Amino acid sequence: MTLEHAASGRLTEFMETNELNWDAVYAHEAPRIYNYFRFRLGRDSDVEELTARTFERAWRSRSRYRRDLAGFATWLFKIAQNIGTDHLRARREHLPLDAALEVTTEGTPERDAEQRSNLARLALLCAALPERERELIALKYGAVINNRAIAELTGLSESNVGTILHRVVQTLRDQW
Amino acid sequence: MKNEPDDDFLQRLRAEPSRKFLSTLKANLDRQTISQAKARRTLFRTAILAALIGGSAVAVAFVVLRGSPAARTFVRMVDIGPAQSAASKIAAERSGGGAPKSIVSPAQGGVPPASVVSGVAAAPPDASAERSRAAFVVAGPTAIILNAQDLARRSSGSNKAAEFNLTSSTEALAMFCHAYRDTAGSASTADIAGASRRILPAELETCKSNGVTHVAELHSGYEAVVLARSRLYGAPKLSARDIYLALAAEVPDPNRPQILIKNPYHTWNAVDGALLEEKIEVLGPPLSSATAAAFRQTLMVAGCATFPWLAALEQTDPKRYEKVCRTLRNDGVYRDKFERLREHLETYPNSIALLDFREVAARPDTFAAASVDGIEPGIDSIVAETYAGSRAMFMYVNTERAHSIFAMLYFVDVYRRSLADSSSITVTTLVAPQRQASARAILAPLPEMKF
Repeated sequence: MTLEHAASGRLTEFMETNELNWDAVYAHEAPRIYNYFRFRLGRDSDVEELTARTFERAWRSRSRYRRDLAGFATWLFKIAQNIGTDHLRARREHLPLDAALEVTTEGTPERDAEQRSNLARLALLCAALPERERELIALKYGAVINNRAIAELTGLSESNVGTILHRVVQTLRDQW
Repeated sequence: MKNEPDDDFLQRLRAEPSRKFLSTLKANLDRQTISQAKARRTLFRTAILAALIGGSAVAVAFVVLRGSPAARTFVRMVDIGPAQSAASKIAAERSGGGAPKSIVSPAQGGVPPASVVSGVAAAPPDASAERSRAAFVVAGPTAIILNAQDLARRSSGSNKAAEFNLTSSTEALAMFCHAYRDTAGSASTADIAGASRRILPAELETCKSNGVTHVAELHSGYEAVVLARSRLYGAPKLSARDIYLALAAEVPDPNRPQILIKNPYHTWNAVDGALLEEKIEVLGPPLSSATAAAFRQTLMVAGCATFPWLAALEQTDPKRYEKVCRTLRNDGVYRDKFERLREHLETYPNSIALLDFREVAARPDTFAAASVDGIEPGIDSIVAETYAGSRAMFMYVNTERAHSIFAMLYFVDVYRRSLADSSSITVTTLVAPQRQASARAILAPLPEMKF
């Protein structure tokens, strides 16, 4: 199953006489890319810029895109993953492990929830997770991609994706 | 409503992008599409115009040359080889000579035994007869031999005047100095030797003691290969050690470094924690190609040499060194693929291609070449020999023989002229030494080495 199939069978809606309907692709994928970056960064700033950069890069080379090589969404998310990684690496903005642990130990969850948005809190907790697990959370809950498609994007097996996500969500719940 | 992470809670953290953002971005993308279409139309018109001008020029040149006596003279002049009496005499002397064996494992797609790949063996039915007619012998590593064969074929329409033997540099120089015997004890000699290093003083002494006293050295350029990915994803930054650990068939066990194990690495961050957790996938030409051979001889060897005990094997156990340092893994991490390479690289950011330097240099809008140990591949770093993916190439000519065999002298002249014009070098792993040799120097009499 490709990412297109994972997206509720929307691929057929994108097709017009054997050509991709780019407007439909944009309308469907833009919110998913946007939310992928929100989850990846854990905030709203920079998200629009990274989303725009992803689409501009994809649009520049879309005439060379071959549907038989990869689903468009797979290709698009590969570009997004790369842009996100470069951005995070350039900004070196991951919180150190200590900061995330501090969140889990200081005060009560209720008080923290009052002080920060749930997304920001999630980002702080995720900062203590390995890079791969943060990426899985963003793909699963930000982009709403199923495990099989995530496996395709990350090179992990589908069962491995499921196992890791289950464990990560359990960890987040314990630390919330 | 629960307020702790589960599937529903996490998905409720999603938000819709603002309509203003979506519409602005869409308008920008539409504008980008229109400007791309305009650029394509301009490119198409330019290509049509260039084709018309080029076609006309070819047609005029054809008409002029066809009726020109000079053209007919030229064709006769380059038809060298069998007609030369000296060549026949020398060939008769050679008929009992054995052929050297390649040191590169055929199992790795390396060079097969020399007799199989020699120029005269290209026509199997009468291979022995062809060999007996060869006027001179060229021996050396892949890039030198492939380029020499092609030059001979293009300059004379045939490469039958010469016998081409694929060997290692050391074997080629031993043949050149009349000091080579194969495992059966048969002697093989070469009139021209290609090498990826300069001849050693001791080898020159051997030449002298065996009567080879007129030797000229030609700097044949540089062999250079690169790892590259799509320009979309920027240039990878790798070390030679990363490359070796990612692609060698056997690598030192991380827990017991003195023991070799089957390569266990499948992601770049397993090779080097500073790299991304991306699947290792390297696409390249067949292992028998000049590019793959150059890759094994340069980047793989450079990475292998970062393990001192493996580097020491070159002296203590050359066969094991060859196997350990120059054998690519065959578990699918390195794959032959050149169809739709550009599209594949654009689709998969983790995919890396092994390419000739000249190919990448000619398409900077398509490929981003990896720097190795902080050095980017480029003419300057190649000529300075600081880029690990390149090495200088040399050719040694027995000038006494060249002056007595017209076909050989003519071949050497064509070869030297090719060095002044990189476009005439078709083996793309070779980079002509333009910065080193002027056309004037190349056309001067062959400078002989002092003994």
